[in-house]
Amino acid sequence: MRRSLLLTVSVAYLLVGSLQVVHEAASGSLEPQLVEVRLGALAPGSSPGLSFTRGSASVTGGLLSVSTNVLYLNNTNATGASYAKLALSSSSGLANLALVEVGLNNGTQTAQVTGSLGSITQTSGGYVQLPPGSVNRIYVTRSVSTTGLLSTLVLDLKVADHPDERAFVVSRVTISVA
Amino acid sequence: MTGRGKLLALSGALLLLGVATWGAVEAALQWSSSSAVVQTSVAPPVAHFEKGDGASNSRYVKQVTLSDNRTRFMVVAKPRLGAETTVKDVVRLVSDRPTDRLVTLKAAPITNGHVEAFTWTVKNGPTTVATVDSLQPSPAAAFALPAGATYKIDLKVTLAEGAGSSEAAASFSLVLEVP
Repeated sequence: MRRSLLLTVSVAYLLVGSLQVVHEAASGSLEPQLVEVRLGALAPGSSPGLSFTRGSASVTGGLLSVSTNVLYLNNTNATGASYAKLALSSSSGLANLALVEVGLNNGTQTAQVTGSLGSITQTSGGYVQLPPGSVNRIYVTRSVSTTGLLSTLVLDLKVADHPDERAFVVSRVTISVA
Repeated sequence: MTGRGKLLALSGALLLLGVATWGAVEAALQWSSSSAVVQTSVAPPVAHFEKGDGASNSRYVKQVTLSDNRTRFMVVAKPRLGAETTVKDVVRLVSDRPTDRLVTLKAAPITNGHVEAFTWTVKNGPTTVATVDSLQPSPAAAFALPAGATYKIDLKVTLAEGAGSSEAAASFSLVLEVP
């Protein structure tokens, strides 16, 4: 009886002692999961990253304004809407751009980042709704002053559950105009 | 002393030694048992965690578990590969004392090479109070918790793209503690 009590107390002590462990080791594992918003290739020269969150697109400039849908932005969730917007992260070679506009197209084109004559005039846009199960696009409208010179815009694509940004994912989209 | 006498004397000595040892062991165990009881019954937590609104975000949070005394929590997150995932108000830190107290949050360091950033941000409304960077060798943050305050904690994870992992994401278990 006494030994049993002592054993119980000893076990209890060990359990209490384990509470002194400040934290357990972080662990990582891979598991399938639903991806609600995926980037997809659309125009030649466009490609999503391996995760379908990042993407890049290359288009050729012209002296006249040309608009091209370059990447799909698909909401694969059949029941929940998402909201997306773009913001300029960095750029180079803009002096060659007589006109540039990068925007989101969910049936209606909404400009997100704009520039003209080599300077950016709008660095970010407002949220555009991506309806459940919808196929949306990222488009580029551009014209250049001299063909063959490279301009690059690096954009942050933010996809949120709700415009109040309670939860969101930010990934990278690179647009090259040559 | 005859051989039988020596044997009896030796047996007696061993018996005494055994009794003495048992008594010492009992005393030690009884002492440690008292110590264990004291540890569990004294010093109520300075603060506790509660689940925030972000804990129910099924897109990016798989599970949030609080310890029995609510001084630790574990989050299994579902961040996106190749992107920075932010979930606001995953848990809340609530003061249980009538006076301001210094508290410390600690986390396990993350060494997974695909994790580019992993932070817990403690916020008082829009103001950042402290940040625990889990990529540091000893992730921790100490700050004053005012009496009656409730701070929200956001989670931010940036994962690199991994070859062959286009439709998979890493899940993480992490525990914080308020001493």
